[in-house]
Amino acid sequence: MTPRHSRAVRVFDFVSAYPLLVMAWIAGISGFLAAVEALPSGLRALLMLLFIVGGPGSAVLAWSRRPMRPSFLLTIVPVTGVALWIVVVTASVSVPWWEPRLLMLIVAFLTISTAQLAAWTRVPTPGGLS
Amino acid sequence: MIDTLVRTGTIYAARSAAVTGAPDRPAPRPHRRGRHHISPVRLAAPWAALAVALILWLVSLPGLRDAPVSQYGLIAAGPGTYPAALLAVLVAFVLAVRFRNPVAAGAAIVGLIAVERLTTSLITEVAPYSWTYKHIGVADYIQDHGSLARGVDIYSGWPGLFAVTASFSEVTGLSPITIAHWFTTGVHLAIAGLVVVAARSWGLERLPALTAAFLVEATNWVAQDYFAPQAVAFILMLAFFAVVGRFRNHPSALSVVVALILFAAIVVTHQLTPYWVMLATGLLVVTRRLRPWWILAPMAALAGIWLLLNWEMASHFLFFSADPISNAKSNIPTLGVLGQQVTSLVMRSLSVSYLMLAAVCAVIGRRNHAPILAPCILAFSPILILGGQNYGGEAIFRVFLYSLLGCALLVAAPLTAMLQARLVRAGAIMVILAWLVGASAQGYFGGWSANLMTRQQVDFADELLNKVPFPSYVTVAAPVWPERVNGRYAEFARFKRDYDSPMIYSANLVGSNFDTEASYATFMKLIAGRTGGRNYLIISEQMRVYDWYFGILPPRALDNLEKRMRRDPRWTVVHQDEKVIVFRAQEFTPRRNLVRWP
Repeated sequence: MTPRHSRAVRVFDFVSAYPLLVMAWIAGISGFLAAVEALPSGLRALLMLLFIVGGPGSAVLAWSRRPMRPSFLLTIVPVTGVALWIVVVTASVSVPWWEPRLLMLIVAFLTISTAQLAAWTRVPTPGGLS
Repeated sequence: MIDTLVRTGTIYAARSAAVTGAPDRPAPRPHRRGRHHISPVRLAAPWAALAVALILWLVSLPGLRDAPVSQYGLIAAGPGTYPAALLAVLVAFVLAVRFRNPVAAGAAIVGLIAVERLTTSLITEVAPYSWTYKHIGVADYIQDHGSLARGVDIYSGWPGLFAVTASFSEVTGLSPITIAHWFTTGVHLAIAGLVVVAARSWGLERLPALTAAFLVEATNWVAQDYFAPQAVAFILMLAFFAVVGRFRNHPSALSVVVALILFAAIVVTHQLTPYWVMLATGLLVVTRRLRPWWILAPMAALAGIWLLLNWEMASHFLFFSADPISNAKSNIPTLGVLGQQVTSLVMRSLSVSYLMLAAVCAVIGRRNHAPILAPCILAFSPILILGGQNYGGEAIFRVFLYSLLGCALLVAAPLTAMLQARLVRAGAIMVILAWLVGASAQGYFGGWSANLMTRQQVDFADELLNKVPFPSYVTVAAPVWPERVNGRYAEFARFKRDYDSPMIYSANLVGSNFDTEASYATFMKLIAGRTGGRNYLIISEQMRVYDWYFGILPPRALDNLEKRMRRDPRWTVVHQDEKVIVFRAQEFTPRRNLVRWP
């Protein structure tokens, strides 16, 4: 017999198994929303901040084969995201190709697709992501 | 039974830990009496101290906001409840460590950041330090033009922070001035979190890692936390050493990629930091404390390529010097008022005593066979910077900043053990910590009155730079002023690179009282030599405070200069309010460079 809370449990199980994929999706969607000019400035700032600190770093570290402490991930994911964003934006302005909104949409799309690809190719095992 | 565990989530929690690789929780440390009982008083004590600290801090805020000008800084000028709040945070942390409560210790670190760093944002209208606004101008230029102002200044060669700020402002509509105002608190939260992770990566247990974070926060008087590239580079540097430390024995391709991403961001953000990171990494590799050795090759390639791309700009700003004594001198050569001298002495004593404490802890660690070589490299290798670079008089500040992580790694473990030892030893450590926290706070807030900026001043500087006709010299009589506050600065800087250089520096009039015709004539000779554009000269109240504090000009000098300029028909007052007066000179041409000499 299926347990009563099976859907909630499955969601919990998925989030536990693919925390970085979930983070990348949330951050990527935040990035898309931050580009909506109709939203208030403060909300857009929060959404873009969430995108930068949560998105690119998650997409990169989702490829990890090694288990990592949650505290390590919680700290390194945001800084890796900021570092990637610094490199991408600096490259963009140096070219110069200055389309910050479009650039964010592209990086948000890449964030989600890269993390999704990592999740498809990495199957969680009891010893960690492999 | 299993169904019950599934429903309650126990099994999923266990699986989650396995997937994320979280280590098994260690068994609770037995109580001295052999029981697992923790007294409720011990549990509540750090939280109670923290609550007292927060109340004292909140009570202090109005008084701090209205603090009068003082040569001894904000702590002396503000209400007594503010240093009491700092002391209460320290007590909270000490109690948390003594009673082995990592959650309370973490909360005390956040409390320290709130009390010491968030305060600045809460009691000011805009970010302090006039030089913050030079950085805002660069971000504003990128936002306006969508490109870099190449050839204008060194910032365009290392635009990481400015480009990100411009893109953030462009997308969200938030002004760079607002971002700069709240920047410091974010920087310190990131620093604290990263020091904990870096300390864990280099082998410290959880509580000593928290102690390391507290130490870095408590001793960071350098104030390299404002809206500036070095603040971001410092965060990236901590993350770099956290990653390479975590995977130092078994590096993976991904760990190297992440480290290189972090390093690349450092390279495009700050001029000096990548070279020290390479130096420290090289020493760690040579001493076999870090793998893989070949990580140095892509790091050197990244740093070298970026330097070559920006060589034209960098070559103007390189300050190579093999004299370590000269390199250790700060960029303010004058002797300030007594309060400034006291603060300077406190800062020097703090730096020396903290480095000595780290050295003593290294010796103790060596005797106890603790792995100290890597932390020693991180702590003391920044001193090597002084062997070849003065970095415009800022090298000494960078040395202390970069050494903070290594010193904390050396000091944290013995200090944690001592805090948990007998009361007498813990009391002695408490006194040392009180010195570190108090001296650091004095160093951080000592120049408060001199460095304060007001919204009115920043808005006026912005308006002035937008309104003055091009070409013009928009010059301050003496430091300090929010120069280059918007992107239009690049236009003027292309006209003359030092169009806004403080007059007393250009005319070699530091220390002049402007009470003689000769000094005024020297001043006017320089003005007359500035041809090809209008000359605007700014005198502000903030200049009087700054120049008095740092001993750049005598107290009445700017009043004397103002009086002489008002009498001189070659000057016209174009703006005057309570805080600022702006003069405009008649247009000088090479043929009319006739200056009366006494």
